[in-house]
Amino acid sequence: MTQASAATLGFLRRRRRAHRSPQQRSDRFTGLYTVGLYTAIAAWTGFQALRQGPARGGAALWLTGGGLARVATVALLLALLATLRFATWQGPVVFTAPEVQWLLSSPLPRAELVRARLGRGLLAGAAAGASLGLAAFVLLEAELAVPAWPLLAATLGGLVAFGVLAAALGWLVESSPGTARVVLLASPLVLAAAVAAWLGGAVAAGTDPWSGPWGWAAGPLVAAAGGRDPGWPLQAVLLAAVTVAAVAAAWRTAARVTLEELERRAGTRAGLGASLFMGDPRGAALLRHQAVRGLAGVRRLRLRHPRRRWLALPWRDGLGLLRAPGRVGWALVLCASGVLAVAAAPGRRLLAAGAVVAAYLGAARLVEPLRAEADQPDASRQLPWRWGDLILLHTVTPILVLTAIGLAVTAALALAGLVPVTALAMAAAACLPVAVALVWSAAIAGQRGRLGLDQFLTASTLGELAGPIYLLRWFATGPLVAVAVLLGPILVLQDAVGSPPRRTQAAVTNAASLLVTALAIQGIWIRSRQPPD
Amino acid sequence: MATQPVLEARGLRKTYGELVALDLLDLEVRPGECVALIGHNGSGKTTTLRLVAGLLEPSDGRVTVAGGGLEEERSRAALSFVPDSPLLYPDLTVREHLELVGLAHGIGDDLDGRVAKLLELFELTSRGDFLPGQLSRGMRQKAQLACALVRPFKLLLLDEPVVGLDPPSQQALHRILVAAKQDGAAILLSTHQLAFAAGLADRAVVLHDGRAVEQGAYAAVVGGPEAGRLGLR
Repeated sequence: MTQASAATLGFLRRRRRAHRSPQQRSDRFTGLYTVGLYTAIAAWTGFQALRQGPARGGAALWLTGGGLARVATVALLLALLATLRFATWQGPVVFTAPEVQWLLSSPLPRAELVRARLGRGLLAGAAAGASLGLAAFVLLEAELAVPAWPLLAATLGGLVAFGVLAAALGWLVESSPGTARVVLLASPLVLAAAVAAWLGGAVAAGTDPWSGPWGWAAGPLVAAAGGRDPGWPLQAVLLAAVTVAAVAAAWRTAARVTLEELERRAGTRAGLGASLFMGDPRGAALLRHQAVRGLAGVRRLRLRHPRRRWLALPWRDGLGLLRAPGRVGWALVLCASGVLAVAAAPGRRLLAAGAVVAAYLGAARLVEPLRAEADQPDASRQLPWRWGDLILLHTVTPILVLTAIGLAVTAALALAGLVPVTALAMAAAACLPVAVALVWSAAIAGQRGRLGLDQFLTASTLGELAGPIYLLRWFATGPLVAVAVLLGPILVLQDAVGSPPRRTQAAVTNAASLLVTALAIQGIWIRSRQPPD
Repeated sequence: MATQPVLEARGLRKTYGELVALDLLDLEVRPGECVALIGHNGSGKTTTLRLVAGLLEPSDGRVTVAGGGLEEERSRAALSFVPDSPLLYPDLTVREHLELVGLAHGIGDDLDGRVAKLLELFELTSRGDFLPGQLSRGMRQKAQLACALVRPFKLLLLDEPVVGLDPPSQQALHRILVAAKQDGAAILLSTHQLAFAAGLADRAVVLHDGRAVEQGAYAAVVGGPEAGRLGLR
């Protein structure tokens, strides 16, 4: 580092330290000490509990018989994907806005300033790997009772190296918009391939030299845990080599990042901090979405506008979904998993409630234009509808899309033999009203606008117990409404499974009556709403 | 003028706790007339416009637009409001914004022609297929103005419409608003840019600390003692 850089960074460090009061330093030490102490106590208690648990034997056999290799490989691949996706909008090197404005734009060598921050990023990667490694060691040692030192060396060494590798690769993504674009576009495909391979049983019970860094990090761990992995020394060498190469590449390319890129990330970080401090996950999600929008490229899709006035909002919502087809994909995955769960175990009530929540989350992905309306209600002033009517019109397209998804899933289940032919017509007929119930539940939650200071002030006046319940209710309004509307009819139908035809028919009538009543209440309630403040 | 006012506000008052943002304002704007609200920051200009647009509930007083209260759909449909900061949907292009607003107001057959003409007037034709995130602030402001003008209206509410606009766009907007006035539209304008308001406004209202301290013919008010005392000239 040049003298000028060292002097400037040293000056900054000294000034910042001077502004930290002894109380702040003491608080920081107390915080770290408390976290360390509780982590150690939890690890020891968990270790003892697992070691004395009665389940040893079956689980150990499964782990050493290939389960550990499968789980570790997939988990590490997912962790690497998550790190790389994180690096498309934040990453291991993020400065604050004042640092970008005053430090990075000064005539100091930028590479040196970046390297100082990159070093911290690599250390953070190593620390995250060490934490994961320690947790894995505690769990495996308690379950398998193998020699401790080799297992500790494998979990710590492998995962620390993997953490450093992930941070270095993260920097390579962060410093190159082209690479970031590839990561953004390819990661869903990699994820889908990994899930398909897992479900199809293609993930090997052991790891091989060609299994990638995630497999190389898992190999020594599997061997130390008593599993079969004769190639682990080669994998350890490969992991070390690729980590060193990635760190060297990251160090060499420290000057490659543009000031514009660092400024963009600094702005996102500042907004993110404010959103999280305010407990506003919607704001944080919008910031992330905005940060990667430029990278993914804009889909220049056109949809010819209709001629009828009442079709204006369904057309607008259709455009929104065309520009974000991933929302439809998520809705399909979430709804299908919910329906599959109910079809596989029709009598289990808790599972049915979980399925409703999953399907609700799918519906909520489709009402983004409605939520955008609630984010800035003044924008809707150019539209001639009352707020309640506007919200109802915004639900037309999501309802149609969700109904289509429901019909497709029903057809797929029928083909797989999970829906009896006798129930097929009823299942298909239920798709539309269920879609209406789910989308209107999402609309009720979505039209509230963002969580703001008002809600926190209200919560603070309600006391220690009622306040958190109030905030929890605020967050969980949508799922709660969906469960309240749909669980009744589902339970009525569940009770009638296997009953004589007359009783089944009565149950269907009762369930339909319950659903229609609930839908009427939902519709009237939405229509009576005013725009959020 | 003998015609009925498009906008009529009587005893309009807005308070936030003990803070009085607007106090007992009476205001009328007739068809073909432009009234400029002038005053310092925090004098109550934006509050007045938001009350008239129905975005704020008055603490006291009543607003009538096109002969009806703001709770009536026909009154809401008669007014077009341009806020001081661009509010656009992040996932719709400029052209689609105009199409949505026009379509929602029942413009069917002539919509494409109107959209194309407005994009051309605001020099947005080449940016018509851009999303708001890809535009500068000035261009977003132009897109928002075009949205307000693509639909039929009787009353146009403009809050600092030229902030962020380049001089040619300011001139283009000036010409469009003069033409709208000639077609019988009523305009209520809040601005610090007296040069922009000069050839457009027929009357002016000077607001100070939420009170209308002077109102009358534009030239007389701007050249009058209150505007001079407040340093608004």
